[in-house]
Amino acid sequence: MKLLRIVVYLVSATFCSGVDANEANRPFYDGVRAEASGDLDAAIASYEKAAAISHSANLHGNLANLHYKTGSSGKAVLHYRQALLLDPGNPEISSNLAFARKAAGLPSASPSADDFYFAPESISIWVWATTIAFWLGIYLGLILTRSYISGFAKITGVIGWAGIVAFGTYAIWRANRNIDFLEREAVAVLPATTNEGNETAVIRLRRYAGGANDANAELKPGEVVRIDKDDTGQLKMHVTKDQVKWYLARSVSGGKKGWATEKELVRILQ
Amino acid sequence: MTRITHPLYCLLSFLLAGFSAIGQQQSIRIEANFSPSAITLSRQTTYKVTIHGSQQSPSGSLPAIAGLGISGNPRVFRAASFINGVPSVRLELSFAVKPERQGNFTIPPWNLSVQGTPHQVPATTLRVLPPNQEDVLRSQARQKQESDLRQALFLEVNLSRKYLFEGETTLGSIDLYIWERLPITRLVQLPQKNGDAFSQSKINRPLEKRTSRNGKNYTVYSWPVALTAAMEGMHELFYKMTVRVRVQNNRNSSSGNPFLQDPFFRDPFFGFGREEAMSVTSEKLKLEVKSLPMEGRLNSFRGAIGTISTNSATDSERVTVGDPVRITFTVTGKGNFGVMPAPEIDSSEKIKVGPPAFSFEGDENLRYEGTQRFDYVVTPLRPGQIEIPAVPFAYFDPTLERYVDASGNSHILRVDAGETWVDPSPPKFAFSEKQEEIEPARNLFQTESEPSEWRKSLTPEPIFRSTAFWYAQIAPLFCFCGILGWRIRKRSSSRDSSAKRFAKLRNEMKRAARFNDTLGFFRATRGAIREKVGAMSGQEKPETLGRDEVVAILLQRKASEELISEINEVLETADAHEFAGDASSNLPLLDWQVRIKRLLKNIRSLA
Repeated sequence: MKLLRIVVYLVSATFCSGVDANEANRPFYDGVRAEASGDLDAAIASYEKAAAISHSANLHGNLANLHYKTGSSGKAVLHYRQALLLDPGNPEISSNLAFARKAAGLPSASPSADDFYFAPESISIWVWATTIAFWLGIYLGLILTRSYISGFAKITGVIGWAGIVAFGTYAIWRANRNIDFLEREAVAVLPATTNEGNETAVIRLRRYAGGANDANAELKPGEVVRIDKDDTGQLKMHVTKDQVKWYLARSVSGGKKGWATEKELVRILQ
Repeated sequence: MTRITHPLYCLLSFLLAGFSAIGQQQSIRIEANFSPSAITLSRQTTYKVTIHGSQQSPSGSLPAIAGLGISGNPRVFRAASFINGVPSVRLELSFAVKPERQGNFTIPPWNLSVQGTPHQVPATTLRVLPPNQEDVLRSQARQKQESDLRQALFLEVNLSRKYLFEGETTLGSIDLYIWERLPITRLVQLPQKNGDAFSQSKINRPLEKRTSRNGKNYTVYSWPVALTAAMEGMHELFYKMTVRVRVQNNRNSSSGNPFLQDPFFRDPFFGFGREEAMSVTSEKLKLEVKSLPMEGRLNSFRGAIGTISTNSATDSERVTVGDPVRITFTVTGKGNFGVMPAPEIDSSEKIKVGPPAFSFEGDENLRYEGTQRFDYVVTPLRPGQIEIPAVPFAYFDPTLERYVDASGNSHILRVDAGETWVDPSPPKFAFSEKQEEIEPARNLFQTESEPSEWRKSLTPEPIFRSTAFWYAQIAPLFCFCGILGWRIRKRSSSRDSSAKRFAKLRNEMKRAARFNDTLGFFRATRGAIREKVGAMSGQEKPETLGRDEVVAILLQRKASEELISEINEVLETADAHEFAGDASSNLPLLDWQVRIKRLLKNIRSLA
């Protein structure tokens, strides 16, 4: 019965996602048309309307392009990152992201194993590979225990299998840790009221959650930070009396730390 | 034949079960008659069957009589009474009867089963007389009333075309004429189309106007409608609707009060009336729907029919690669805009064309007259001078009765290469400079005109967090447990049988030693040794092991030479007894038994 419920849930989930996609198509095409007619603000509004319904690599790519063209490098970096999450192998988006980062005066990020082999989106591949290796080993063991192969070969096989499964488990753990990092990652963005085109514009990381105190450090638009977690595992956050939400964040290298508002630090997985 | 069955029957029979019980004591008698037994042709009568002495539901089939319409659903009446202190019950079945012609009609005797016993219903005759003067007057009055009503309230359908082509849309109106003195209280239902060969636009609020016809003043409610012919051939079309009218409460009042007879007070406008629903139907229009001619049909014709003109425009003539251009194709005039499909521009190596956006300027409901816009997003894929092909469009003009090509103009677009980007990373190899020159620069920030695959969430969901994944593991786990269980069971059953065989052989040994049966003793001994050694090495059939094989297994298990030589000796002795009938062994069997017991213990210690 439970299995039937799961099947129904999966079918309905698939159907619902299709409905959302259809709803998002219209504002997307409106955005394309508005962009074609030169109305970039209307195009951004249409794309953001589509992004509120559903996500696609091209949608975030287009949005990032427009933000880059309108001088909002922070938002451009944010949307390129989101586009890359949906289409990790897209060279154009990667190139655009590198270009936008360079234009924003950010250091070029050298890709590490966490960006490829243990990237958050690779977790499903690792899970399936490890699961298949695990069961394959179990069944092969079951078959080969009664066979006439030598004990050395058997021990070697068991060690090899255990090694593969252990590595797979490690890869899953690492990819899962990167998902956790990704859930905490935010891009520094100048709020809409500020002229982001101004090169001196920076995002201040304050000592305390509040607008009037000194800055601990400064972030350039487009710089990526990680929001700290509190003891309960939730994002470390403070809501001031004027209902402004503040996050305690630190740069990926850990060199900068401080509080910034949710409008200044936009989470990648918002 | 009319079957007498009714659910009410059953209910009543249960309620009156007591009287039925009394009825069962009485003798059953059946009467049948027409009431009245003589009528004029336009009247109705009742065929009544009375069953005395029972109230139970009868069963039987009423014979059909040609020229008489007998209802299949009789009214049932049950009665009980005491006559001179004697209880009496009866059941009456009343059938409504309407004659279709004049003459004498006799219902012959027919059988009815009451309380499981068949009884005969006697014959009875009905006389149907020709219509009398009163009937004639009543019929004339009804015809006049209907004629008056047709003049007071009627529905007209007006179409601008006498015939249509398949797929053509025409404008028409449905007009409801209401005589000013007819007290219509409300329109219950909007006009309903009857005619499957046509589709129509939505019927909205009517336009109201006043008009005069044949000296009578009417209020006219008019609904504009766009009709589209869907099937070729000769088809009927009519409309039907319902209105509510206030009518007098007592039409045949015999009140002698002259005050109440005054037409002013009889006017239902001033109360004293009740509402009745009245159905109005338009005359049936016969419309011919012609099929579109095959002659002269253009390839770009996709179903547009009307009197229309087209225009094509682009919003830009010079763009960079990847920047979208909007092509607007407008169709203006009168036609089937509601069913007009969008013309298609094909993508090519040089351009990518997205699906068009639709918009209509005009009456959105009728979609008959106005301007239909199709907006295409065209993305140039190559730099240079690109020709965007004309939007292919052809329509059929129903007045000229021929196809017209109205494709738009082609547009020339100048496409620039756009901003380029050079990899800022330093060259890795000595020959990289040369490579950079060869490698084409990549265009940046190109707008994608198609959304790629949509996803509900950005968050990568690890598969192991879903319940489905863990459910999927159940199958291999069950399979593994099943195989493992089967193996264990098989092994234990094989062990059990080996132990049983060994125990049996040991008993045989004991018995043979007791009865001094040398041959039997050594045979059992040999078997026991084989069984022990075989079980140790996992042999499925240890009884097939030869002496050399036994020795080889023992050697493999690193048995001592002393043990091997002893076993060899025992097996040789056993073979000698078995095959050569040698009885040279002087050792008593009981001593042999002790020795073999020790040997077997030593073998077991090797396992």
